[in-house]
Amino acid sequence: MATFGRRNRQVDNRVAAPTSPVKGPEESAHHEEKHVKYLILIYSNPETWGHPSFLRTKEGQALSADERDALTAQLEQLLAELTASGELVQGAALADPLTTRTVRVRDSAAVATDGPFVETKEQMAGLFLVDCATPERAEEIAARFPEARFSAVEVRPVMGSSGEEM
Amino acid sequence: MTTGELSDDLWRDLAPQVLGAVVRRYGDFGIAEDAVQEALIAAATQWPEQGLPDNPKAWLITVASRRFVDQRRSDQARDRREVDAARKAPADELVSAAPDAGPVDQDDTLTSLLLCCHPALTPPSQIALTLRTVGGLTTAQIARAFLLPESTLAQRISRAKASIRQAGARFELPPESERPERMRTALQVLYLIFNEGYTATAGPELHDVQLTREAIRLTRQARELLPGDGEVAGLLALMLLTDARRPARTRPDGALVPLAEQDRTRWDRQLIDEGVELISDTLTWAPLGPYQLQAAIAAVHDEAASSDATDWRQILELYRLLEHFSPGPMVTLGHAVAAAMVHGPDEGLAMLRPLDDDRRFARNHRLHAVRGHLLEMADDRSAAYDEYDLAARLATSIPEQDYLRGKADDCARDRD
Repeated sequence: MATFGRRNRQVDNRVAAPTSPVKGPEESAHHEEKHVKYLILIYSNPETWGHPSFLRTKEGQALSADERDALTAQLEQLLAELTASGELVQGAALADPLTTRTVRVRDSAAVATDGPFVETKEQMAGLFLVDCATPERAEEIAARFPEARFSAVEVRPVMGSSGEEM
Repeated sequence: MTTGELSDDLWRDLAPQVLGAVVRRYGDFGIAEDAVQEALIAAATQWPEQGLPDNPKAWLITVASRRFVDQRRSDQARDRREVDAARKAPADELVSAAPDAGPVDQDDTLTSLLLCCHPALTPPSQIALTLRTVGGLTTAQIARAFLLPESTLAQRISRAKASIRQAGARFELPPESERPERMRTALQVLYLIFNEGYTATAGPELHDVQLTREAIRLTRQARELLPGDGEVAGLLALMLLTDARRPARTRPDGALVPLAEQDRTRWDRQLIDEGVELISDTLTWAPLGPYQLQAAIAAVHDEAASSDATDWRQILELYRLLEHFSPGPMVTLGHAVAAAMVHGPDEGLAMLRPLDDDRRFARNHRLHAVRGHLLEMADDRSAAYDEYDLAARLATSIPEQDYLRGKADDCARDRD
């Protein structure tokens, strides 16, 4: 087999005077662009539980009917868009934190208690799994959930099981 | 769906040609594509039971045509009556009724590829539609390969078709003047498909579709259609030379083995020989391009008997050219490693510095993994630990995180 090194001399000859840069596959060069799944976590106040949660909070209740309709439309449009684009993998609304059971095993015995593991002012109200091209896109999606305005929406990359050569 | 007995699914090559025949007769790309998909599903279930028809292409065209007519008439996308009818009919009866049994233009495969990779589509839509339309895979197979729900994949395909419709694109080869740019996008899509499979350590081997193999198959087709395109040849060589290392890239438990530590006796010599010959030949005649350069770099690695025997000077020169043709932070990372191997770690570290100013890339775990590696070379274990530790925390892949955590731990031990 001819060694690559010998043949390669021809490369150097031909590019002695480089022409203007060519637009290359920069996004994909060396395995750069990989789709990552993101978990979008919607947080809301547990005192005013219900779905969609933004309509139940004090701030949400204080809005005018027009504003409330606009927020509802905003959410509906977002979900329709994510479904149509093939980015939405899964979504779920969670039951009132009151129904949460926290399970611990101590001395080999399971003990379940009522209520969440961490008592915080905001609790997770719903979650969406999206599969999108960039972290920026995931943040853009998160910002369009109405709860981002009242409480907060968290974006967390989901770990994959595939690895690249190091 | 198992169709393994049918000569490695080679009949799927027919998908774009069947599509071409149906589109030419009936006109609507979107419906025709669905109809071909139905015909392929029918073939996959019937042929293993009843045997290959005498003329598989004519059989597929007949079933797809019936499906098209039925779909348009009933306007019920999920109605499977025609396919069921086809299932009951003996294969040869359908073939004798086939009006389009004549030769079909080979260009249909290229036309399909360029249409599926239309620039109006997003990359995920391009990938899904290419695998289905050009690759002849079912939506379910594609969804499994990408570990996504079938409904998500189905949405990407219908989105892709809607984008094609909106862009006013037709099932025909783009004008000669637009073809190089369109081909460039198509190669990028093929490379993305390859990478999806290449980077996988767990899962896909268990699935019925191996994305790297599928990408290589489609790129081979593209090369047959465009033997004079150096970048198509370069991409194929790159895929072969990269895939050749697959057997040595992971341990049985899924742990990553870095290039320098791979057991090179486990590399696939046949793929390496084919890839080296292809890229060596291409470099003698084709205008240089980024895929050829990446293939050339892979060839230098694959031809070295050991990591120490690697011709880093040549790799450095190739990266210098690649930076010129296709600049980007990932290329700079490879360039910096090569510079460090030739001129010492300080030179490589200096090349990495500007990447910190790229806000997005500064959070890419690979930047910190490479810097950790170079700091380790420079014997600065403490700084190397910090970089490996940060890289491990930023990684979103479990095997990569495990590997980087291990490197960080090694540095911590040495430091103590």
